[in-house]
Amino acid sequence: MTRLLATIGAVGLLLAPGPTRAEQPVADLRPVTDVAEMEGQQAQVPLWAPGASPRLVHEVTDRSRKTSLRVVSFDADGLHSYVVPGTRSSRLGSLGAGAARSDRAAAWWDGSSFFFIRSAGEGSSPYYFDGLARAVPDAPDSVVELTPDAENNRLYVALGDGEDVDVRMYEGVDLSVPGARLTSGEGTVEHSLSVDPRGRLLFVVTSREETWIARAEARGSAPLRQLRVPDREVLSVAPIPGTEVVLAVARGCADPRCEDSEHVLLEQPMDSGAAKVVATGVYIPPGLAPRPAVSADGRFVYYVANDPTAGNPVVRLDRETGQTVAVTTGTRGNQEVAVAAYPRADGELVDWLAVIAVGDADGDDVRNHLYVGPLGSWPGWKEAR
Amino acid sequence: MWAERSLLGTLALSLLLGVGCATTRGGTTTAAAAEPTPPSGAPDCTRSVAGDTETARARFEAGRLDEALLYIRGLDGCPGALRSAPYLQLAMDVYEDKGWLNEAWAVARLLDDLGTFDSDEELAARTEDRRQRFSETYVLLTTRSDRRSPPAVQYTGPVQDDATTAQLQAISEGRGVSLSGGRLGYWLYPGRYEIDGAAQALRPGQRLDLDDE
Repeated sequence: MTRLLATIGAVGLLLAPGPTRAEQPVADLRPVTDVAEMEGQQAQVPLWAPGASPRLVHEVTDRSRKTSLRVVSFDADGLHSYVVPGTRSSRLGSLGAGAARSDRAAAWWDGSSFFFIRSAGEGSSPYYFDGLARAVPDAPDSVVELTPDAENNRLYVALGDGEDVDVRMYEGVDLSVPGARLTSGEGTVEHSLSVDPRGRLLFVVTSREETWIARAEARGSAPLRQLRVPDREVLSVAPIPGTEVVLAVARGCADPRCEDSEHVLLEQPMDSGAAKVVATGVYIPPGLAPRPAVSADGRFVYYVANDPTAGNPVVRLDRETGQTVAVTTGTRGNQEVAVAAYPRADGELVDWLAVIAVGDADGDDVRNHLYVGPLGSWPGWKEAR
Repeated sequence: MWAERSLLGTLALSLLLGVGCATTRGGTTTAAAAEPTPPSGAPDCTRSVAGDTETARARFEAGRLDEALLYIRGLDGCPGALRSAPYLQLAMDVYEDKGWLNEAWAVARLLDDLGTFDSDEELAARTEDRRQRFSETYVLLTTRSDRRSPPAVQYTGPVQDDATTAQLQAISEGRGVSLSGGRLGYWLYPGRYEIDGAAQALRPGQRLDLDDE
């Protein structure tokens, strides 16, 4: 009897629910940069648009390191793409005008139009693209970064010379009058601007000695709230939808000159409280750190894991359970990932991933390609051309 | 390519609806002058087409668009200018860069007719290519010619430039181009607009027939 009970107990132990293993999500990705217009060029910085159908803008870098912007979208008619023209004139376009410009730092205004920065010669000025690149009238020519807040009809702009960058707020997207200066630090650089759903501006402040996260209220009247992250160098931030938490990409130590190169993801409460590391071993490509990729419901965080032996897989962190799981992407040498949710015909919100990875599907073309696709099924996606 | 009826022999501005006849004023020709006398801004058919075209081109290539425009406008509708391919080509360039798309399109049609009239195949091919690119870059709103009032068009994006303002002003005054079948057309930059009360995101190359709405 004792033996029988022991056996039953052992079976029971075997059947008892242990820690659940997350099902491996599968992204149905396809390359969208293996086309003639992208020959010899590198893709980077994908940014999904808000709206009802999948659409993104990404940067394209050519051999001379000039950048341009390319829009990719998918709808019932299939897959579409075009490069933002360097000039508004069909005549100048046919003559190749605008080839010397660099377009970068796109930030969506709504589902079909965005602001960006165009550099030509010494200056860098803001433009707005809604089928035509429109120069923002009377704008300063020292724009480093910008982010719009369409809901409040406002534009936040980082202005400076690289050594000293300040954030200004412009009401009504009117840059002909000096915007309200939100920062007052000397010798600091502000970057990684983003607006949370409540209209608050979040950004990173970098001095020679340290970095911190700054939060400006929607009206810009209250003093900046400084969110200190001791012992870390904060590189980029994004609000987590539906929460009072900022997600940040950070480096292992506070001093920008330190040698610790491990990158982590951490969550920082917006009001007060200590930051919490939620992921370690995060891969960050050379250059500016990409923004953290958070799902629209705030539950999942996607990042590229620094694991070269596994091809730097895309990993999904479930913020509710703390579990991480590799996403099946079919790509290798992943560099950065972006996510957004779009409604399927049946009304279900589906996450779409944009992954920058080295090489095309055959592994022949060794440059940074852009792969996009839904996490799960999406009508017409497999057949799309 | 749009299939408008040829109107060779008419004044350029007659293709532009809502614009009065060209006027002439006394002035100084510029052909032999070392320092050309600037045109007054009103058409003056006593001026040298070749001389003013050359001056306008120099201004245009130096990026002085408004000055080039002054010389081009100074020959608007003059018989000699209407038969000058260099003048018409430059006029189309200047008008397009200025954002005066209806004017540029009207000039393109005159160039088309000139190529046909002179049996100049190279000019005809070049003009056709320009018209094609033009059509792919901008937006064309069309209406019936017996429509009671021009369409009500407002730009709804956050950044409205001067050229768009001028295009909307032209529409509100009923100044557009004549198309085949007695229809009227208004060329416009792509972008986000409210047209007759409906929000529209107009893409490059789009043609929107407002009577079909």
